Amino acid sequence: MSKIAVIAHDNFKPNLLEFLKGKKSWFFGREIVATGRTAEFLEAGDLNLPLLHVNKGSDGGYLQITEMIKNGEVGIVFFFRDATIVQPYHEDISKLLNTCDLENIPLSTNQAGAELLIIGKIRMEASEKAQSKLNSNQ
Amino acid sequence: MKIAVIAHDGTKDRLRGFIQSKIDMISNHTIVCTKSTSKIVKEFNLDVSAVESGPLGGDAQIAAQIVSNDIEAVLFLRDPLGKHPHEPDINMLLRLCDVYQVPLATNFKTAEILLNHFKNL
Repeated sequence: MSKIAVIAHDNFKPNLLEFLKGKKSWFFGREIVATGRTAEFLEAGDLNLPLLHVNKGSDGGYLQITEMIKNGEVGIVFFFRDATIVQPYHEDISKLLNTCDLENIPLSTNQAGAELLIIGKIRMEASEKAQSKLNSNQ
Repeated sequence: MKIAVIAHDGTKDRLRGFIQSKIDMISNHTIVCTKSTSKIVKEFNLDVSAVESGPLGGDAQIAAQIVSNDIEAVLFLRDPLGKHPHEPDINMLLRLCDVYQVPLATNFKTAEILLNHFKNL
């Protein structure tokens, strides 16, 4: 099963934590990868889901996740981006977003989109499951 | 609900196929497009309002509608490999979606999942 990438800028780290906790049953058992400080924040917030850490964003974390996307290892990206700040590694962020679009990987750059994306994803998985059950009964 | 749909030249052909396969999910929404994208949407007899084309400020017009809370979701099927004279406008649109927490899809797979969700609303 492919990995889920989660990243949040500082202002949105608490929102990401709540988001993950709220949908914990869906995330449970899936491999989650997070940039360094996001991962630390989530662990300190008692998320209790195993997280794969990459470097923090300023030390190439975005590029590591971008590589994983290119290798087909990532199935969905939740990026809680703070678009009111500018960061020195802006280029790395652009690369990550561009790679998602080139590889056609589901991506949300804000929480509103993430909430919809995950519900849409859960529904699609449920209908795929129902369909395959239907097919195996035929 | 009101959805903005924008496709770059490099993704317009794919947009045609995408609308065709998702027509039942798209037809019950109010759609606003940049000019040349609106021509594709009109091929499917969908009701669409058009703003200017991207290089003439269409992205900026849609961004303004985001700021005034008129748009509920953005499907921006962009071509990250293309060079665009209005790159700053594009980045502004993406940025404001995140500032105003408007659901945004920048690729077809994300757009499909979001539409799949909206059809039940």
